[in-house]
Amino acid sequence: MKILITGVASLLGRTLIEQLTDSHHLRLVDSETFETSAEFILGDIRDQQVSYHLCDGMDAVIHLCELPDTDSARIESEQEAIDLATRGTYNLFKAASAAEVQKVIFISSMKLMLKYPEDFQVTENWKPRPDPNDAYQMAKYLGETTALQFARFAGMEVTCLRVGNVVIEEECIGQDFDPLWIDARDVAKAVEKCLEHPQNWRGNYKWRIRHLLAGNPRSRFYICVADDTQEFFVPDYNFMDWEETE
Amino acid sequence: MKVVVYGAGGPVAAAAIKAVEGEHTLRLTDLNPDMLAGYDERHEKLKCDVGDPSSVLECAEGMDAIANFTVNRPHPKFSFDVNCRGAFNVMRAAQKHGIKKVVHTGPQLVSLGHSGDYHHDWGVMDDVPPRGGLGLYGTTKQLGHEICRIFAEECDIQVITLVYASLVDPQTLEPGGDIYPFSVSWSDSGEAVRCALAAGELPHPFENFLILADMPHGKFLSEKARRLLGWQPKDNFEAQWKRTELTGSDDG
Repeated sequence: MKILITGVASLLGRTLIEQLTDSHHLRLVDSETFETSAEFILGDIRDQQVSYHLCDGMDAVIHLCELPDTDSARIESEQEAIDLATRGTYNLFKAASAAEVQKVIFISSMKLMLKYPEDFQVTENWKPRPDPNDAYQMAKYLGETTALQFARFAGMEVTCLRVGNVVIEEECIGQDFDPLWIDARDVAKAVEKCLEHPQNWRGNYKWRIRHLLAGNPRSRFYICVADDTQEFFVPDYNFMDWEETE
Repeated sequence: MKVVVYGAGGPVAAAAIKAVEGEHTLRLTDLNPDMLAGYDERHEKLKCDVGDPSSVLECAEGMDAIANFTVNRPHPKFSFDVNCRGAFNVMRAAQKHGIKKVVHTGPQLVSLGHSGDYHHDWGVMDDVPPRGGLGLYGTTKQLGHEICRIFAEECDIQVITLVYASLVDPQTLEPGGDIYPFSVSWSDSGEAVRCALAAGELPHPFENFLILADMPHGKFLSEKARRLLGWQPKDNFEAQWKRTELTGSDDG
């Protein structure tokens, strides 16, 4: 399969390359330079011509929607995040649609669900509640909203994976447990399953959301509720060595 | 109330300003200050680019309410800057200045003529989920709509969204011609803004209203604006949809 991956300079991007490089042809893009033996294009998806070039000939797109660290004290970071997630996502999906790309995976954030009380069993059926004080959350939600329109109106297969804080388990030793942790290798494995697994789409268009977190009892959200999640997502890295401390 | 008006140089804002200027102190802003030249000196006039958060914040200082009429339709960058980031900047300014009322305006997102919207339905109401489609205008306006809803729900800001389709001047219509069943006169659209600014507490912090005249087609309904805002349109375009040869009302 020919796969475009955006935002490859991130931890998740690099992990995805490792996961997918042996069995797929990868085209990689980032707005910063990146050393790789795969096909790499330096560019910004907000440029329509760049997006059209990137999607040409691809079978699938994995849009990591990597955003800058946002801080309300730094207005420009908020503006950049929202612009990347809205205009960037729109341009990329528009180009993917024109290139007749069949599958798109959009990486969103579990943070969209944090406003619910901790004792609620929040699943993919719950309405996202981004915090308007957090432009990162707002941007991810707006990106999701844009992606949904392409599933609904352009006939594309779109999977939205909401992920927690992406880390490598071994690199977290010595840190306090984060209930939003998810190992990048587990996300990469789930992405590959999404690309290959026969889909059981509901309704008259092809859109689905899946929540991905470590399978730890102290994770902020319980993950294995969605009807087919267990078929493609059984995390290997569950941070079980982190003892509960009070 | 002191009301800052963004996008005051446009025609929808013009109708609104005419309707509210007797009741409120207005601060008129626009990207192009020349567009404000027609307003007399009773109104404060400022340049403002809604894509620039500092500019939006500055213009909202000391205000009690915001009315946002900004729009960009065709441009691949500016439509996002204005319709999407602009909405974010306006709502962030309301939040930072403690402004509790925002009147947001935009196109109806129920019948833009693409597959999957409500174009072929009847009885379409105010509170159906928006279906902006894939065009730049519909997409960016829907994102702006979502931004307003989230700020309203999470920050205790009342956002009244007034959505329009066709704005017409009854004086210029040829009797007997067809009319889109989601039409309103310019003056009635302005009156809707006056009602929105005057509205007290509403059932939900974010309320969306379809603004159209009393039209008997049954395709779009605007009962909610009458019930919750007390808005009563005066122009109903009867001459456009009534068969005069049967009623004999046209002596000519």
